[in-house]
Amino acid sequence: MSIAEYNRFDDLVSRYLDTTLGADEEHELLQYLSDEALAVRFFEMTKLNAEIGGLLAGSMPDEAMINLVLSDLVGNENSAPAGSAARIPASVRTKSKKYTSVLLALAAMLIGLIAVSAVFHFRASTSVTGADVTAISGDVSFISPSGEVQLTEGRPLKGEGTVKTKDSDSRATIELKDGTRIELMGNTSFTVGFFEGKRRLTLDWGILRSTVARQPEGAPLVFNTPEALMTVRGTELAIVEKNSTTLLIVTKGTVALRRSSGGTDVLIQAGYYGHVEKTGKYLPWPIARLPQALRDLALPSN
Amino acid sequence: MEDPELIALVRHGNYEIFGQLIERYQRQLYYFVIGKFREHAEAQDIVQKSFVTAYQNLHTLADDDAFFPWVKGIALNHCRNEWRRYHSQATMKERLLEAKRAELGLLWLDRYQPEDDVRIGALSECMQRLNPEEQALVERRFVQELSMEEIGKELNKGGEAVRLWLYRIRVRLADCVKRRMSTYPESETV
Repeated sequence: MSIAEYNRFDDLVSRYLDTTLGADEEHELLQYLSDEALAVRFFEMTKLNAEIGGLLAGSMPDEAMINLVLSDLVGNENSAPAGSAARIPASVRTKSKKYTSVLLALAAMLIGLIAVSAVFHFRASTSVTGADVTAISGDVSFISPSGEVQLTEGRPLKGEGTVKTKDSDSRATIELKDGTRIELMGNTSFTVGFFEGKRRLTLDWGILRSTVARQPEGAPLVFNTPEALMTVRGTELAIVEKNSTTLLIVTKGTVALRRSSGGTDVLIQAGYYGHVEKTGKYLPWPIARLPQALRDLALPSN
Repeated sequence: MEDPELIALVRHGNYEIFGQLIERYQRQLYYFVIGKFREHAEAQDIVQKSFVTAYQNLHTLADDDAFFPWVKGIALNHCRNEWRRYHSQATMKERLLEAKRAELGLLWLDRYQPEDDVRIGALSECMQRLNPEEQALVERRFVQELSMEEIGKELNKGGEAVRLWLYRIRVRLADCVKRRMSTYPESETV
């Protein structure tokens, strides 16, 4: 085989690994694989690719894997080891039901997402006193104690109120004074309020993405949803609030996730997500486990 | 508690003790499985299935001291089954390149040698030797899963240039892994 042919083969393998291989090229690569040495090289490169991805993604937290396995076993009560007295206790069945409900909620979110074809972006901060609306498309309003106004680009947001993107095609981008950008996607409601003298940012429902500017020491940005509190330490993230479930996807930095009604912080690092319901556990999971449509939310919008 | 004690408790009905075995071995099993099937995301599923199968067949485990090697064998069987399923799906859809990849995957599993397990340790060491720019590129592609164009935009490069750069890194890593594997002591495992 000539050097040119070998280089061409490598180029095709590279395109295959990065999913940019066209149909004709696919056929061409297949022809090359009739050569045993090239077939071995092709397989080694695909294997290496999976190994790199696996190493970087890391294994699942122990507790999450235990829950998954136990849930599977609960799904088949005849799964106890033959000849043993092992039965699945009620407490575990309850755990499984909780887990199933999380999955159902996530599935419902996914269906909702596909139905509206909407992605929401959002960014915010507690350390600033004002915010500007930097981009608007579609029907977006600001509802405050003094009434409802249509939002326009360049308009400052003052005082307490709720920004609503009113249909699936509407979008709003808000920029806070510290440079933090917030992007709200369609059919989203986001409330800026004050509590004990501090700004309180609440995603009532919908989806947002956020790149948060570095926050002052001791004054982190906190996102709220009806179920969860998310303390941000300078990061990129996406939040989905739907069907009484909060889904947090972190693409850079770390976010401390906690249930609104109390409990301990669970750190969600880059490459992981967490979801919170009214009850049940909330754990970090690798983003790779999310359905593709939800994973897409975690990627930058531009 | 040692494995045989835990296994005895599970066999005598202490269901939740099985969680301790999962906790003890799931990470090792994950690193054993990655690379043995198509994509890394599927490795988690194979780990999960392997523990479920292990639980259901615990009565067939002959040597309680050999729980982990036994689970590894179960995981390898799941990898084979997944490749077979993938092969038949790809063949049905006339995706011949994918069918070929599945054949190669099955062939590799048939020729699998325990010393192949040092690959992941070797790869991990090789990845640590990439320079910071290269590590950042690999992270953008594999962790953030950005497209070539998106990475190019961030780095002021064209998408094609990024693809070629990434491929050169992969080739270097493959060579590095081969070199390291040839220098590992035979007994060393991940």
